[in-house]
Amino acid sequence: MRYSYIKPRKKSIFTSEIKLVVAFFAMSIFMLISTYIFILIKNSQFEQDKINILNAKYNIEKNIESMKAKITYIEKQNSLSQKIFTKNSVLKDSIKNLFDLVPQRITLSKAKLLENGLVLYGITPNKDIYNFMLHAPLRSIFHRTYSSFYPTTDGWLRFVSTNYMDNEIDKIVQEERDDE
Amino acid sequence: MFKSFENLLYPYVYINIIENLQETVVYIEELYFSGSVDNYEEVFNTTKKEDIYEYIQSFAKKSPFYYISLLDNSPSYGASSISFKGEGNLYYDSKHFENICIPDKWIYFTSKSDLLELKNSYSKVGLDFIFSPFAILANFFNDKIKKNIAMYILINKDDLNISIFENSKLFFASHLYTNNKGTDADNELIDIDDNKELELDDTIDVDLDDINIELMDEFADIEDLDTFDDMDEFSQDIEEENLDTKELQKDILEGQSNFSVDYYRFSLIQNAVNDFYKNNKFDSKFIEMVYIADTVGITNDLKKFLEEEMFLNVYVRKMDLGSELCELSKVESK
Repeated sequence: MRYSYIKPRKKSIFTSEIKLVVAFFAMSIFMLISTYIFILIKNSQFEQDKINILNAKYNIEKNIESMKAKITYIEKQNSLSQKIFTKNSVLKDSIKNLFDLVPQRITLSKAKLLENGLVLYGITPNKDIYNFMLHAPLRSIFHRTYSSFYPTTDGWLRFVSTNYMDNEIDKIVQEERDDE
Repeated sequence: MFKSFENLLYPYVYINIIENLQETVVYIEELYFSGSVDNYEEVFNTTKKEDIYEYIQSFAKKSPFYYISLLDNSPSYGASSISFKGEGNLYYDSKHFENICIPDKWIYFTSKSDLLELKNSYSKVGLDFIFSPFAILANFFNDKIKKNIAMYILINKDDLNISIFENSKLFFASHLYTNNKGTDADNELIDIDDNKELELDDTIDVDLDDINIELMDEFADIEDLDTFDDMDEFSQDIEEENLDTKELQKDILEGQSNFSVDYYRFSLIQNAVNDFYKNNKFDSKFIEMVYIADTVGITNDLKKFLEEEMFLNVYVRKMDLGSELCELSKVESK
């Protein structure tokens, strides 16, 4: 039941002093929390950056290793190519020398370069020319030389010259066999 | 739950103002969570508002939960039954009056402009509640007004609030000044007081029963005053006697003043009862009982007048108006 003609003013626990104190504390707490959140965010960012940097470092290290392997492979390839180049040069020289060996009257139809030998196919007018002009230099180069001839329809001879170079040990063994 | 928490932090402070013509009583109660109650009461000169504000503010500062209540002392307040016999309308203007209705029982009201004036007069400290003396009276005799017809009178320093209730239903209400501002009756009262005072000044009217016999014996021994020391002692005794006489005179004056005020109160009550009986707008019934809420300390004369002149059964109950106002504030603030 109502007794008073007027209604009471609103009463609040938050007086102006308390409001001021609460505002002060709220602001302080807000600043503390915001600082804490800022630090947390920054910390997580730094953590993320650290992880990224570590990943990058790991990748770089991995790349370095891979590159080192590639470099080694390339170096090997390089050395191999140099070897091949040298070999090819030697081979080229050998072939050049070979063709230099072949006289003008003999025609080569095919030449097979083996690892330790040479097989030549060709046509010679006669055996003598072959023996004097080609077989002799071949024998000076190769340790073993075998020749076989087939007559052609026009009177020339088709020849196959098989020449081998023996290792020193093989050579000695071969010589011993020959001696026996 | 939250109220308890509030009370744990701050006490509830109920500041109750009872403004009379000459003096203003400020009664304060502080309610603590522990249940302890501190009471303070201070009487101020009504004209010295600044002192009152300062005193109120000193308590209001203690807690944000303070409630300032004022007892309506405006000339326009009153009470009435919901409708009068033969009249459909209330006899106050609801447009200009603030009212509180007790459904189907009665209504009490005061002028909106007076309320505004009261609010303005305490605008420095603000007001939370303004209570009608009729609400205080009904609340004070709450156990009685539910019963048979009886007259209830709140006797305040400057006024009387007369009401007649039966079964919580109001039949009659009247607000009358006993010390009002410039009515003929009041002037009459003042004249009577002045005459009495003058009369007493001329003839020191001392009751023989009150005269100290031992002192009279000393008068008999006057011829024995041989030395100056004895003379001094004698003159001192005479001075003390003069003081006693003045106090006695003052008491008599007050007694006579109270008598005349009580008589005036009686005459006002008598007129009000006559009006209740004779005025057609009231559904008059025979009154046998009178309950008086005494806030000022009336003399036995008023009771005697009412009993002997009007053949009423009179019951006087002492009322601490500040405390009653505080009780209503507590109820209202919940």
